Amino acid sequence: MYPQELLYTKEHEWIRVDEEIGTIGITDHAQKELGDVVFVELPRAGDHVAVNEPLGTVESVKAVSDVFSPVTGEIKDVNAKLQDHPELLNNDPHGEGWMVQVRLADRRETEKLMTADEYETYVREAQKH
Amino acid sequence: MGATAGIELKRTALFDVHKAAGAKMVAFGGWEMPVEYSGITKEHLAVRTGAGLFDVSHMGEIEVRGPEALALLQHVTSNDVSRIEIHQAQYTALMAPAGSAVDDCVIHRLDEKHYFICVNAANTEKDFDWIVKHNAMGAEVRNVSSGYSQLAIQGPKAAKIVARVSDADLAGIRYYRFLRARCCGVDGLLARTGYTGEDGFEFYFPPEESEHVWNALLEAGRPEGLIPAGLGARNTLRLEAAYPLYGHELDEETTLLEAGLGWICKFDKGEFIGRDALKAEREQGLRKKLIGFEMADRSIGRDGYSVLIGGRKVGRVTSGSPAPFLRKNIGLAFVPPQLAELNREIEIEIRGKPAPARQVTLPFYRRSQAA
Repeated sequence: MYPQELLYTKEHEWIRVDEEIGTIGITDHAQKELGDVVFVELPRAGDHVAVNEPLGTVESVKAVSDVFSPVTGEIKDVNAKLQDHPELLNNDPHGEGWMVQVRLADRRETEKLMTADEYETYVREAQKH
Repeated sequence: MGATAGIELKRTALFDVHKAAGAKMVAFGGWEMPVEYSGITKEHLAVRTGAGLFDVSHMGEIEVRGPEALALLQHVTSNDVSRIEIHQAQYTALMAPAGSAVDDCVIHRLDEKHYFICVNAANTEKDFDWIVKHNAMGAEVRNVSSGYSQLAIQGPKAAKIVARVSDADLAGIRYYRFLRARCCGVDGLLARTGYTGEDGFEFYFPPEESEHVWNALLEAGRPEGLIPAGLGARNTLRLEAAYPLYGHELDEETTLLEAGLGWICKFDKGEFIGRDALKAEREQGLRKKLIGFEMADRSIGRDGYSVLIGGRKVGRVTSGSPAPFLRKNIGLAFVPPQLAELNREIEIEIRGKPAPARQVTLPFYRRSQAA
């Protein structure tokens, strides 16, 4: 159920790497845990983000959650649609619900991330506890 | 999220039914409860426009009976229990000497000298011990919580649905009245009460019938779009209606007057625990006041956030959330009384940054016509 072409973090973000550009969002598991998303706070193009530092905030009816950047780099683009349609994070978290695009400073940072299969196992294990 | 390690959580008789329905379960008041099924927004809107079904069997029930029952309840609660008739219910508070609430609760008068109190799940043991401790009169007090399941069917279509499965004369059960009635073939207490700001019923009945009653109600309500609703929607619904939630607007540090519950303080009924403290505060002025606010932008002021006026921290948000029906972000907060003023602009500190908000009239939502 988790797309094979994406890489995943323990904090439930995903990243798709095309050359030096990484597209980042939150996983289907994360959106299910949050419930109805009502507000997404994103950085601006040109902002600098550091690996494992907050890059934005997702608010659902019930909770607020930081989104952590899986990589270091410069924000190239943000998904402006989320401003008026935060529900895209619920409806299509791995596609239309993408959050930001980052110009990667160091591609090697993505080597530590989980594959789809590893992430699926990780989520299943976490739910047992 | 998820289970809390090391704490044994209680489960209602419907636990497996909720799991099978795909509910997300959370710890609440010592219970593992459904927080949402199809989504808080959808469930909330179903209750405002159609109907929703809640399992609220975690709530506690305490019975008080005997010749001294009334005297005991008059002593431990703030409202005037002598004013309720048989088959009438009353919102009230179990009182502490400081004028604060040990709990808020609903007293139902079953018979001449027989009362049935619905209390908050997390407070059940505390409430029972408190009542027993003040029972110098010798009334019979019993914690009967394990003997009841409680389902709440709430929404403008609730009465139409219940009419299909109950032979009770629903038109005869006005708001805050109840009857011993048969519903879905099961005998119980059918009360026109709720915690959502809508018309609706709460049904108390033996736990072993839970699955049957749950399924029969959902089946009966299918044409009206009745869906199961969780504690998430229950919270956003009660917040729109500005009903206090114990542990948020009410606790042992907050008096009833500060929480805006002066209407359940009946000073003329005679002595009750906390009466002196409340009278003194009424004369000397409140220490803090509960206000409603509405965010001016899309940010959300949540529980525990600071309230700022002129850059200075003046209070604290007790409950804050998006309001799915009103489509605004709203909240309740305590501020010094001299700063409580309708339409006055305030700020809520959200992750270190002030966000603009405005004080508004309570309740945020009021249903258009009473039942």
